[in-house]
Amino acid sequence: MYDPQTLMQLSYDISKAAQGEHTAKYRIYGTATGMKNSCEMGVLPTRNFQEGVFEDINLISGEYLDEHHKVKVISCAQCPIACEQMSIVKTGPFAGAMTGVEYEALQANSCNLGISDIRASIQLLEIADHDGMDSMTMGVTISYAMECYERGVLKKEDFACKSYPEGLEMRFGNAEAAIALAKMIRDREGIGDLLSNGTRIASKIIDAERGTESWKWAMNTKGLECPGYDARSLKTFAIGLAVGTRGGCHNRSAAYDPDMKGETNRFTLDETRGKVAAESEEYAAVYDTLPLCKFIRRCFTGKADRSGAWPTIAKLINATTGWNFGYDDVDLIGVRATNIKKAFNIREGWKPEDDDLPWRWKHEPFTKGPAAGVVVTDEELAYGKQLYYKAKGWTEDGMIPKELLIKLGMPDVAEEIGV
Amino acid sequence: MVASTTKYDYIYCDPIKCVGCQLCEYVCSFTKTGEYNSYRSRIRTVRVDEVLMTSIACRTCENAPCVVVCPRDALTQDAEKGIIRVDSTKCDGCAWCVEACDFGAISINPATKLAEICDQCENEEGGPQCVKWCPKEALSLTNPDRISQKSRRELIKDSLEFPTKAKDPR
Repeated sequence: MYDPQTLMQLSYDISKAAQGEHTAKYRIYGTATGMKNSCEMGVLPTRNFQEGVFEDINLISGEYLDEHHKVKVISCAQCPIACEQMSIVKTGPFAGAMTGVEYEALQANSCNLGISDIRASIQLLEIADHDGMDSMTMGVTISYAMECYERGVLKKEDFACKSYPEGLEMRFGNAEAAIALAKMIRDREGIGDLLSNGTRIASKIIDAERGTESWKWAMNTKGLECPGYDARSLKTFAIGLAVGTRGGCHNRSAAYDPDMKGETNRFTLDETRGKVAAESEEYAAVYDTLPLCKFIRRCFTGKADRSGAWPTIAKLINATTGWNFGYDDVDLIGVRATNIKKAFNIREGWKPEDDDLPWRWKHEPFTKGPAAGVVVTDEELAYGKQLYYKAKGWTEDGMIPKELLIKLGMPDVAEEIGV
Repeated sequence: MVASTTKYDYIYCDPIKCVGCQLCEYVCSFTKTGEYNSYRSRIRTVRVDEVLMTSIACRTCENAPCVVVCPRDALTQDAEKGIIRVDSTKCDGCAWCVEACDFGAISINPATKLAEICDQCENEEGGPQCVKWCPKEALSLTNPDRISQKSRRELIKDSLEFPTKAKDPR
């Protein structure tokens, strides 16, 4: 530790700022408070992303959760914010289930499954949390199975296994069936074994066996199930999800933020968006690299952008290491991180067509809500990808030029990926 | 059994306010050793289950059992403040004090192999650093008399505010 006293003073100031207005949303209601807003904007995944508004939103909102189920907030290690809303089921068949409830986990396991009983959602999340499954991936995989059932691709008996010999009526809104399938996925029992691979692999195998087209509603990009902001009407975020090195991840691309805050026209694309998508990704990468929680992003100076955060982050780095980092050096962390992640994908066989969106987002608009009638067309996607590649300084094919890697101080990476 | 009631101040943690972040452990360890290491902390966070958690440091018992059992008379209790002091020239790390403490508030320093006990940062400007840092104001330097007095006051305050539910977890 280069300068412990400075580091402690900075940490103390941030820790105290984290008790103020900038984190109030996370501390008091937790991230689930975003449910109503997403519904009002028509971007709340409903019944496997078939619609963007949910009729029973008031029964699955963060406010409802706070009033009826919240027990206590707890924190991650050394975190001064404490946002995890521990929630318990007190009545009904799932009484006793308790876990932390977040926006992303909740939407995937409530409206996305057509379930309006939040007690069932808490039970689903408890299964995911206690047994080590990603609750978002689990929810979207169950919703994929539900749509397969409703469209006749999977039948009741396809869900038969030792635990459920009769099979399951896997229709949207059937909470008991969803919970049963979660346990089957956990235990790799019956069709749960196939579904435990996620929607991309499961749909490929199901379609090959049955001659169906269930891949059209397998809601993933690069095999990672999509997050809880429907990107049809969030076009900057759509670019971010399509090009994301990790696939559909809201923690890597933070471009839903400018789209939802109205800093961009979310329904259309213009030439500025490649830069917005790239910069939001680089901004997030700085936090992930240090690592710092993004919920603390306003606690440095009140501003959640580079100018608000980078000077303090530079001081934190310098006090820890004795280096002499400035604003541009912090910025470079994000640029280098996103480039090396892309280089990793290139080395592992990435192809331009992998930067894609789920079929549904490109072809099936919502019928209801403020985002009705909107899709991301193939032309828009191609245009958005070009804008992003240009902002990153990459080629039209999305490859990283050798000169860029050398400029970023990574000639070894250039050599390894053969550019 | 030796009585464990105390008239002295000690570091108290309100389990309702504690979020289990363990910042107190890191701050204690840094203050006392210059390291960030939970195992060098004199206050320890306990997570009983997902929502039941608290932090424990020396409770400054009267007739402290740790002092009574020490076979080498290495532990002494400050008559005024109740702080237990360890004489490092006498302590040989036998850990009888650790066994005698009902609260698990004593640990053996893994580097020196000697007993370590919270001294309420008596040499620090600004008093106990864990109390200063606790982001949820769960920690305080207090005693049973003041704790019960505070509880009575909170009870009345809550009754007056009824039915408005306190939303801020702080």
